[in-house]
Amino acid sequence: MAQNDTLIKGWQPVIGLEVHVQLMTNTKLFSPAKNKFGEDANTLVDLIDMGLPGVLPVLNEGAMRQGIKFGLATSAKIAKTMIFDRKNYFYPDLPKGYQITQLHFPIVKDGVVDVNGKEVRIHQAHLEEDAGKSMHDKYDDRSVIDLNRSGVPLLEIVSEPDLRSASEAVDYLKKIHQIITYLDISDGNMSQGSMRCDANISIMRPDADEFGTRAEIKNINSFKFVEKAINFEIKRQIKILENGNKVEQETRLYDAVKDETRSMRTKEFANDYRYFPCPDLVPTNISDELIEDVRKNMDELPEEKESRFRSQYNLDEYEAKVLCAEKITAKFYEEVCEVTDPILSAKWIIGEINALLNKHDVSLAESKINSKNFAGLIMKIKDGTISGKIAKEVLEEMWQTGSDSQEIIKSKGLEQISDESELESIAQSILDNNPSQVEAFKSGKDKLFGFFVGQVMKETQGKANPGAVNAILKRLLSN
Amino acid sequence: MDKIELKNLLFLARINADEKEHPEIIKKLQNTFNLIDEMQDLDLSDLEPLNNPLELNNVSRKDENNNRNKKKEFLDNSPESDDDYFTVPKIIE
Repeated sequence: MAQNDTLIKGWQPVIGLEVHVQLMTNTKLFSPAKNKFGEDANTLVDLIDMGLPGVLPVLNEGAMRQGIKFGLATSAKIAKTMIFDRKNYFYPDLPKGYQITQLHFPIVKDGVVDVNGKEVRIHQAHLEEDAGKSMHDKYDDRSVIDLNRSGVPLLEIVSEPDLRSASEAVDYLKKIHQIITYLDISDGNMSQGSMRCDANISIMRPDADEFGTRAEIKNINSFKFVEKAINFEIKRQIKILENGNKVEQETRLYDAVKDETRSMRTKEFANDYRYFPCPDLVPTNISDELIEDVRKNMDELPEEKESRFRSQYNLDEYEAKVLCAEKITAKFYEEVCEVTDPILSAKWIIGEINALLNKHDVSLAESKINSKNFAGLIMKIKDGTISGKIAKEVLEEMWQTGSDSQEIIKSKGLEQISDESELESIAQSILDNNPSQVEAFKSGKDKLFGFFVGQVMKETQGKANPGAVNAILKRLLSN
Repeated sequence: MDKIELKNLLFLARINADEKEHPEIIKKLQNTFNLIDEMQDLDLSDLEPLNNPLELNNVSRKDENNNRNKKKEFLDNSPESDDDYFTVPKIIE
């Protein structure tokens, strides 16, 4: 490992992530119940999700297609035959007593994603069912179960232990987020749990032949916490090893409030899920025709979009990257470009819109800015109705109210004054009121020109067209 | 298979078997293990693993929603519930 800046106190962190992604299908993985977040408890449940005796799971083709899509997007191998297994354990939010998942023959194997120029390998991605939800606060002596989530399709994406720092792990996670949202297979909403992350972390000396013993941190639910949890865990393991003790292989939970990880359970009994092929589901062949059909209907991937933006709209690499970071921003930009200047629009989205989104910590979708009112604003800048400075004011108002730029400009009287005669009479009165400065200018103090421009701008509250003001003042002062 | 292994297995499978039955269960399981051992001795290197005895390809269904809300029926037929949820003994992690 040459020129390694990821070492911490001489230790090399080694990280692999397991990312659970809830797929955006209409129905569940094996039942025809609706797959939707935020509905009334237990209203999206089918006999199959209840695990009632005699029911049989039937695979949702939509979920299979989405898994294939992910495989294609990560240059992975798509299984010719995939097999579902049962993972057995008892918990009240899992009515069947087992989760249907894929262990040895997953839908996707050996993928790769580019994270800041580094190839991070994906070991596999497999389809599995989500569990229901248990809640513990409603009663003192009872827990309550909502099975709406039971059977929702998940794609679990397992990376190889190729990540070497917390920030690299976050960048990888962001890349996965970008891919799944571009593919429209998930909304990737971490706060609603549609993207969840477990991290496997170990540390080793850079010259060691084997990885250290790893700990698994479960259920980290934001990009920020991924970084914090991993950094905490690295420090914890360094302390253990430097004190001459051993890291235990165990599952730990990240507590965001205390910013620490702690052991989830003492292992009296080793986890033994007794996996075996699910007898209710015979092996599933995936035909070349199906894969081709999915490929044909696939949306553009981020890198493809970036390079198209560069050639089609004449953007530089940075601009294209920022605009394509999120699919929704790229779509917004293209809608704006249909009606107005691509370069000017790009600058305003990258600068002003992004600044507003960051400042208020909301997404473009949640904001009151839409491609229509924003395009209107750019057109007003382009045709000289308003200056850039005034445009920022209009954008602020648009952000607050969602109004049309024309309306805002009119109601606030912000329209740029380009009318020659109006500007000339304002300029003349400025000169009349400042005879000594006029005299000084005429005797050679050129710098005073700026003073006159400033006075006109002040008089017009910044609405005067600067080009016109310059021309008029020059003419008046040369008389 | 010894008594401790059996106890672990019974716990994982949530099977409540009387201690008196344990020797008999161990004997039966041991027979199964012996059978597996016999199979291990066979040379199967040129055979693909068999994942399912049925030589069928699984069917799939279109991703279309056609089921109705059966919340009340499900809750009414469960061992224990309130108006919205299945209720279970408190789960302490």
